[in-house]
Amino acid sequence: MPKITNNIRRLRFDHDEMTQDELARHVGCTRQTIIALEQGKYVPSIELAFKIAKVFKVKLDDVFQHER
Amino acid sequence: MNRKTYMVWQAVLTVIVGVAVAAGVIWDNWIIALAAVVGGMIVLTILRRSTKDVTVDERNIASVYKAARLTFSLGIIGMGIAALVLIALNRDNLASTPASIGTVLAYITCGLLIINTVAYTIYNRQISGKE
Repeated sequence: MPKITNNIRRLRFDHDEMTQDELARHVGCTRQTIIALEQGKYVPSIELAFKIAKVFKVKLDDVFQHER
Repeated sequence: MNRKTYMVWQAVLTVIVGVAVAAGVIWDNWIIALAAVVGGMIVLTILRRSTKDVTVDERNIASVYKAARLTFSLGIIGMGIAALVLIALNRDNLASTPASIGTVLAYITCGLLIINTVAYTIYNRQISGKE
């Protein structure tokens, strides 16, 4: 079954240990959503995925990976 | 107001509205119940608008969608079965109260299915690509 994984947790720490709350505020979602994303329990919309990548100033592929 | 304060107010308001609706039912005064529900909705809307934090996002909407879909499916199946049983058990006297309730449930079930089909068709057309 295909699975989407992400590096959000690592990217947060690489960006001055950005908190989940700060990232949530930047992308306009709740902290619970960031927690769910990091735990792999929720796959974001394309829009939210792009917003997260934009906050970290990286490409979408650097944040999200599609595993087969 | 932040998200936590909003959540506390939401919980408090829910309890108040619940008590008011119960009081309205006990005293047989539907105006109290209606006023409580409408008032609660207005206050909650005002509180939500004054909240700076994000209170609802795409994950919440996805959860609401899944819950609504499950509720609809179970509700339709439950009402359909109840309607069939009530009508079948009272088929000799369709004017009886249980059979009438069964008929009403059957109409509600059909009505909801029609609304669902129409709504699905409209939304599906809105997000369909044109060849």
